[in-house]
Formats: sequence, C-alpha cells, structure tokens
Amino acid sequence: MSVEFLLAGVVVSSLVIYALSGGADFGGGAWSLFAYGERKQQQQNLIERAIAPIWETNHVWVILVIVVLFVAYPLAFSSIATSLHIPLTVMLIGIVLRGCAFIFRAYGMKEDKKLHNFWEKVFGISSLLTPITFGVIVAAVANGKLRVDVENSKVMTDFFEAWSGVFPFSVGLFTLFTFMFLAAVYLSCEAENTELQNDFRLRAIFSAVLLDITAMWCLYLSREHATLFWEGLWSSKYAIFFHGCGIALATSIFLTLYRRKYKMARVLAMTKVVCIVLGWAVCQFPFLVVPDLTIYTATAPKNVMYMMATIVFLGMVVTVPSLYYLFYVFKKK
Amino acid sequence: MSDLLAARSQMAMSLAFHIIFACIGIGMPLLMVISEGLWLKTKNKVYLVLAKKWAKGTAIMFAVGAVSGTVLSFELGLLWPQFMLHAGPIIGMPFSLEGFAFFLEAIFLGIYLYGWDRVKPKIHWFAGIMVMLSGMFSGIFVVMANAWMNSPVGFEFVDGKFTQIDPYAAMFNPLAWNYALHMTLAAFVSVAFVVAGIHAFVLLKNPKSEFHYCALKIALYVGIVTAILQPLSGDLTAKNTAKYQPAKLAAMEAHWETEKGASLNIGGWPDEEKEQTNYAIKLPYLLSFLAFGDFNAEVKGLKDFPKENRPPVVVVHIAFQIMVGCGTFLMFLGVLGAYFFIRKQAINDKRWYLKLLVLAAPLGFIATEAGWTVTEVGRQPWVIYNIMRTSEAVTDMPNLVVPFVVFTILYIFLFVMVVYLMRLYVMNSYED
Repeated sequence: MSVEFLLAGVVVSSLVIYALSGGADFGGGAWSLFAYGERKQQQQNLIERAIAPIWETNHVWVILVIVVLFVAYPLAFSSIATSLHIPLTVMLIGIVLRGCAFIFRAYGMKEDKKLHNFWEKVFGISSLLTPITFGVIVAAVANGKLRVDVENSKVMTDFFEAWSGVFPFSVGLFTLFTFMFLAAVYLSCEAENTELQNDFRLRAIFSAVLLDITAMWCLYLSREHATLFWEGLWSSKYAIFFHGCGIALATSIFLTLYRRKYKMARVLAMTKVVCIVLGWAVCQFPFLVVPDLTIYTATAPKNVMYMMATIVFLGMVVTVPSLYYLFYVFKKK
Repeated sequence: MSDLLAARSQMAMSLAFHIIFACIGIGMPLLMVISEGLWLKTKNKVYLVLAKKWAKGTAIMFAVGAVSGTVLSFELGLLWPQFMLHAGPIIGMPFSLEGFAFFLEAIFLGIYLYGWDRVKPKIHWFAGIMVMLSGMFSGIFVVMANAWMNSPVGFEFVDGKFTQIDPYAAMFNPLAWNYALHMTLAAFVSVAFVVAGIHAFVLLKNPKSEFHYCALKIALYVGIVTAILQPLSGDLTAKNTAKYQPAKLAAMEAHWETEKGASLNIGGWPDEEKEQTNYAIKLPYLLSFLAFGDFNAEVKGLKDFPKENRPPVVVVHIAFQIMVGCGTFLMFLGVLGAYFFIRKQAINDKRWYLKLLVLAAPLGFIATEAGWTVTEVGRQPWVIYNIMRTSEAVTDMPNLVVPFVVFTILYIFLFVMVVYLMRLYVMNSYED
C-alpha cells in the first residue's frame, strides 16, 4: 500500500467519523430548530445534553482533514481554497455561529429569555446551513468542474463555476438530511422517556425517507452533472457494493425503527452512513479533485508524506483511547 | 482597499481575535488545575468552588477559541493559497502535531467541564492537567510554524521552487523555541493578570471574601513568576531578531543609521519620509548592548535596506514600545507581589496594590496583541522572510474586502457578546 493511498485513507476515514459524530451534532442542532409540540423544551434539552461534552472533539476531525490536505496534497488544498472561496467562507461563518450560539445560549441567559431565544435560533439556523454548504463543497470537488492546470499549479475555474448548480445544492440537502437522520436515531436512543423516544423515532423515519429520496435524486443528477463520478459508480465493484448496502439497509432501518429496536437502528444507521461516505470515496477514486488531481498528482515529497503518516499513526495511538474514554464516560447506557 | 490589504486585514483581525481565546485556553487550565490540586490536598471547599467557577467561566472561551481557530486554519488557504501551496508540506510537521494536541485538548476539556460528577476526583484533575498541557503544546506548535516564516530553513530554494524539504529542520528552525517560550509566557502573564484584576476588583468591595482572596493568590503566583521571566525571554527574542531579522529589529527600534555603539530609542515617532525618528529619548550604546551584548557592536539601520524591503516602521516601533511598556509595568507589579509573599504580608488590605492590579488587568493582553503586531508587521513585506513576498502569496479572489467586512462585523458582535456574558457571570459571582 502506497503512502499516498494511506493518507487519502486517513482523509476518507476522518470524513466518515466526522459524518458520524460532528455531522450528527449539526443534525441535532437542526432538530433543535424544528422542535415543536408540548415537549419542545424537553427535546431541546435532550439535544443540548447530548452534544455539550463532545461537539468540540467531534469538530476536530474536520481540522485533521484540512491539515492532511494542505501538508500532503498542497495543490489540491490551494485549488479548493481558491475556487471554493465563497462556499468555504459561508461554511466557516456557519461553524463559528453554531459553536458560539451553542455555548452562549447555555450561559446565564436564564433571566434574559429574549436573548436566549435569539441564540437558540442562531444555533438552529447555522446547524441547518453548515451541512448544506459542506455538501455543496464535497459535490464541487467531485463533479469535475473544478479544473486545475497541474503543470503551472493554477486553478482554471472561476469562483462560482464549480459549486453553483443544481447538483451541488442537491448534495447539500442530501448531506443535511443524512446528518438529521443520524441525529434523530441517536437521540431516540438517548431519550430518557418513551414519549421523547417516540418524538425522535418519528423524526428518524421522516428524515430517512427524505434521505433516500434525495440520495436517488443525486444519483440521477450525477449521470449528467458528475459524469466521472457516475462512471466510477458502475466500473468499480466496491462502489456497487457500498451503494447496494446503503440501499439495502434502508428497509431494515425502517423495520427496526418501526419495532422500536433503537440500539439496532443506531448500529444500522451508522453502517448506512459509513456506506454512503465510502461509496462516494470509491466512486471518486483515485481522484482527489475530479478530474485533474488524483491522490498521486502533485503530492508533497515522499519524506513529508512518511512524516505525516507517522504523526497520524502516533497521534491516533494517543487519541483513540482518550476518545474511547470520553464516549465511555458520556454515552454509556 | 486593495485585495492584498483586505486579505492582510482579515488575517490580522482573525489572529487578533483568536489569540485572546487561545491564551485563555492555555492560561486558565493552569489556574484551575492549581485550585483543584489545592482542594484535593487541603480539602478546603473554597478551592473546589473556585475551580468550578473558573471552569464555567472559561467554557465560553474554549468554544470561541475552537471555532475561531478553525477559521484561521481555513483562512491560510482561503487568503494565502500560494503560500500554503509551497509552505504546507514544509511546516506540515508542527501543524499535524497541533491537530492532535487540539484533539486531546477537546477530549479532556469535555471530561473536565462536564465530568465533575461522572469521573473520580483524581481523574478529573488529571483531565485538567491534560487540557493544560495539550493547550500549551497546541500553541507551541503553531508558534513554531510561525517562527519558520520568520527564520525559514529546511529546504533549498532554487528557481522559485522549494526542494530538498526537511520538515524536521523546518520545525526546529532557529527562532522556534525562542518564539514558543515568549508566547507561552505571554499567555500565562495575560491570563493571570486579567484574573488577578477581576478578583482584586471584587476584593476592593468585599475585602473579607476568602473565595476571592484565594483566587487572587493563585492568579498572582502564576502572574509573578511569568511576569518576571517574560522580560528575560524578551531579551533573548531581541537578540535573535538582531541576528535573523535585522530589518525587523531596526523597525522595532526605529533605528535608521547603521552604527557602532547605537543608542536605544525610547518612545518617539518615526518619520518614514525623512528617515528619522523624532521626539525619542535616546539612551547611548544601549541598543548595541541589548541586541548583541556588546556596547560597541554594529547595529544595522533601516537605511541599509532598500525601501521595498522595509517593514512599516511606525506600526512596528509603536507596537514594540507598547509591548515593552506593558511588560515592564507587569514585571514591576510581579516583583512587588513577590516581595509581599516572601514577607508573608496580606495583600487583601493593601488597597493601593489591589487598585494597581485592577488597572493592570488588560495590560498583558495589550502586550500580547502588540507583540504579535511586531512579529507579523515586522516580517513584512515578506510572508516567508527573504523568500516570498506577501503580495505573491495572496489569492486571486477579487473583492476580498467583502469577507473582511463580514468577518469583522461577526467578530465584533461575538466579542461584545462574550464581554456582556462575562460581566453577567462575574456580577453573579460577586453577589454570591
């Protein structure tokens, strides 16, 4: 296995874990915005308790992706940062507002209801917008419109071309629904009483339907709008496998939710999201930025790549047990 | 506003904002760990309450620090893609290590802030120590990367291409440890004096409060030690700057003529047109001594550098004066405090000292911001010193003034909010 493949694997794995953890935090925030009914306050409290101790940690996965990209694949990083300046900036604003709103809201604002409600809204809206822009960015990297002149290390695309259009925004919605679905399933697991569990069970089923519909819609669009991605889907047996699993899991997820097997549903939902991200990665393989940059073009020198891989390995040796402990302390049940 | 200026302003503003929260993220855990350690040792409940109060007050700072740090890591690419294209692999080592330090910080912070009743007291204390260490290392790694921009090594630069990259040499560049030391001490000084100032303020109204006196003492322990050490590390930094970045040193000192036995300018206003510094107090031979440890050493003046290679002299010189002024005052307060502690004199009835502490509360942070201005503006017009100009690094994106204005409004809004919430928080604790 080459070091390029290994580091690309680190990027993909980090994205998988980010989707499973940080993604669900955003999904939770979105549900906080859509909380309604007689248990509105209870729903929001549950979401707050579920996210509070872990959201900053979950957020670090996206930093890891950025660092690996700019160290190991500097041309990919600078091209993405240049041509996707606008959606990246919007996403950053979303990240800043979500984090700040979450902590402000919990802060001595019990007296000031108005201010509390304001930040509650900001928290919800930024949790909604950030996943959409995140999806837009991922789609822009995959749809083949971000062109790079590798010879001269220059971006050929203007600042709108790669990310504007129906395909990126559909992927954005799909990302949002994926995160909301995950969050609803997690929350139905963590809810302390049956009514609350039912609330999130309903939300899980509802968002699962939206997720499956948008997934099909995005696949349909990719035929025309992300041709290399579409071809990748049919030419790789792994891609077919992961997408097949994702689709097959849909029915069993509905079944487990219907029968209130929440823990089972959580395992299946997580598996489904792993399939989605891996399925996307395999379709795109070996491209990092479709169609000009693969994971083997314009990489950092070999010694830097090995250094990076070593640091990731050593870092994980320290981080993974600590991560396990964090989730053990707050999520055992 | 040109795109280059907008990009520089956005970067400067983002850094100036983030650095406050980053310092708090480094400094506060030390205070909390000391307090919690004293609780474990003495079983005096005050220390536990104090650690909890501090932790709750700091949670907000960590969150703002985490997200504003994320903004910076993206902005490196959003604003300076040409810089990152070349420098990314070279300074990848400290940045990757920083990533994992940040990971550990976030993990143990979660345990520390929300795990008071969920883990054993000793494990909780250990989590606090981990937050402090990982926060500190996180800062050190980032500063090492910045030091590389000031003393770039670990590569061959031929025909505009970077080859023979040695990430290890780049990380341990000549200025790395020096900058790391100076910044880490700065974080502790800044935080310690803000905390001391806040508790001194409450003690002035309520001198009998044991809670606030304990808090003041812990903050002062840290403040005294670091404020006395900081000028020493500053001296080291000045000597290294003289060696590796003579143009920056000349700008810091507003020193125009190359001469032996150069005098030190205190204050004064540099006139970049006429190439002279007006109204300064001149201390003969002192600059040569401070820069090279020799009263007759030759110090290069700004006139020796072509105009296009000089940093903006006014900004750098004034910022440097501010930093040194604040630092000196804090050192003076530190020495006084040390005297009181050694003589075992109570501080809570020394109203004049408490008043001085209240006055000095923001000085550490002012010095830190000024110091960063010296480093960053003093490096101009280079992004990688003597290798790549800042103007070559900027993105092709037009209308950069738009994101600059947007982020400025956002950050001002957030800052006002944080100040408002902290005021509320401190006021509540005063009533307790």
